[in-house]
Amino acid sequence: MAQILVLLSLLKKLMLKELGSLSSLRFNNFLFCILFIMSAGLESRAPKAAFWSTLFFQIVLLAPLLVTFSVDTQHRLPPARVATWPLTRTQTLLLSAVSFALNPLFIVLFFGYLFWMGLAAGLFFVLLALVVHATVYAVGRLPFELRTHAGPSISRTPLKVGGIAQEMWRELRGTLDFWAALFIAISGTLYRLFGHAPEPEAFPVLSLFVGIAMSTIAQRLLRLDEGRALLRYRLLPIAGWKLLVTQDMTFLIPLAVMVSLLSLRTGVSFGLVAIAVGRYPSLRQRANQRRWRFVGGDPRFGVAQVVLGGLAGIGAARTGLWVLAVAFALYLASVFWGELLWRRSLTG
Amino acid sequence: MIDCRAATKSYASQPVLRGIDLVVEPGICALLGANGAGKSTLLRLLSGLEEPDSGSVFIGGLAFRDHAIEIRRNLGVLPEGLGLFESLTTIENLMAIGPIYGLTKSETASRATNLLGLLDLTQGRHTVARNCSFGMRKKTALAMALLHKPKVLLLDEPFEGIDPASSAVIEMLLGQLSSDGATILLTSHILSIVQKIATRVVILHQGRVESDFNPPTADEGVEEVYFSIVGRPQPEVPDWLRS
Repeated sequence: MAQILVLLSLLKKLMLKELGSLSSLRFNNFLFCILFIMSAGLESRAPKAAFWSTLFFQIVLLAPLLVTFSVDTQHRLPPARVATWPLTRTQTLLLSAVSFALNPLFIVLFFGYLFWMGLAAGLFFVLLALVVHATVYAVGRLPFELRTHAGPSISRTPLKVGGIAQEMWRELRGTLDFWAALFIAISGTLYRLFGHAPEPEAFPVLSLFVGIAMSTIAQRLLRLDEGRALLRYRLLPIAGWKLLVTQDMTFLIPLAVMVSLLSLRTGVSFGLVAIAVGRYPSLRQRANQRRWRFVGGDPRFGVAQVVLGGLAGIGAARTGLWVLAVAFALYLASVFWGELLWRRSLTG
Repeated sequence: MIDCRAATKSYASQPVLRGIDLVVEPGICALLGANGAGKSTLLRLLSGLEEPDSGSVFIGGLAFRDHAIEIRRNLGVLPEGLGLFESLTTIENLMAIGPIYGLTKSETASRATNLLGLLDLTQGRHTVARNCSFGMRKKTALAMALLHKPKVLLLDEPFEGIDPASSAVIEMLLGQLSSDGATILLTSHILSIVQKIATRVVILHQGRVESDFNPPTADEGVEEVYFSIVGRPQPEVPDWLRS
């Protein structure tokens, strides 16, 4: 037991250290929206109705989020190190289960549900989390390793930067944001194609949700692989703007495909603004992203992405293509500015 | 040619390089020193990844501030962090950068196949970089540095973590490039290899150049000179480690 207490104290120290650095207080725009929905639901006159009406988005977010909470908890101490320690299997399981509760976001969500829907919902959330955690723990001990497979190659284009686009596309697919956005896009498209009297006003809104789910990625376009490729980019004889445009297009084209049957102009306008706003943190902030996680962004830029992108998206849907042209102009300005930032980053 | 003049660099007001003057002509120059002596920092300055606090760096007579892209076209770097594209396979890593250095796709494919064969990576060519062993990753990064046959090579510990057979191949490749007129600056802790391949040895100690000599013509071997500068350790085994 003494060993477990020592390890828990170590975990607590590591968690506080993570919280202590500003870079660890990272916000995902989609998560930010859910917390906003939660707080709005709590303050509304009919909080229970608000809960049920937003349940779809909560499930889209919670399912992968709980898996990542669990994996993160188990990886806060390096697994290769823990495996060499003289701990029994029961001690390891106990350590893993107790340390799960040390995740600050888990605690925030528990209290959120407790105050929103009462004790039953709070306990159900904890139970769900424990089931997810036990499953992740069991899968992690299966006698095989989940390995990354390369997947199909898209670098056979005549473009010189095809390889960079391919790297970016694979890293994009390694974020949970991409899959959450795809899930919303497919659900929205099915609603449009097969729903009973679908509401046309809903399509731009769904398109916006797809954009919001993807938008935090635009703040970390250069660091989706924990910043490792950035070192190579800095060694390559390539102009900064070419690199930035390649990465932007690898973000924008999948977004455009996802929203193509919802509201293309809304999604593309939102995407262009999200990239432009995300340019500075993408180039200057040193917050590296891990695979199979929601991307962590800077809340100041996140709010700007959602508000300005939302205005552009709704504006493009309601008033016409000139808003899309404005969004494109903003994007072009961000490319020129990005080139300057890139050059500065190469010289210190 | 590499030309570094009075370069200094500090991190958090802790000086790491204290006025390095170094001109490296074609050949193989080995940069030695204890951990923390400033070898990797100097390589980062020379590869343009960082700027010196004072002093200047020229590669082939050009400065990074004004000619970064021209310099990089003729520069091959094996950085400390390797700089691999983690989600691409070994062969894809090479195929991704070839066209950026001006090689055609077929040239890139042919050179990549040669390099992977030489470095014993043919079997693992379709393995995604993040799944590769440390040695495979280092050899892939080395192949990326060699792919465009650069005139200047900066290699941070190219032999560490590499199997003996591949080490011998790397020695052969560097020797060939050097005799073709390339300027190679490498860091290493394996003194026997340095003794064998280096035409010049520079020893850094506490951020300064403490020794600069040519092993083939020197009276003393690399190991003797190295330990005379950094000191030969006289460790005492603690009591609790004795039986």
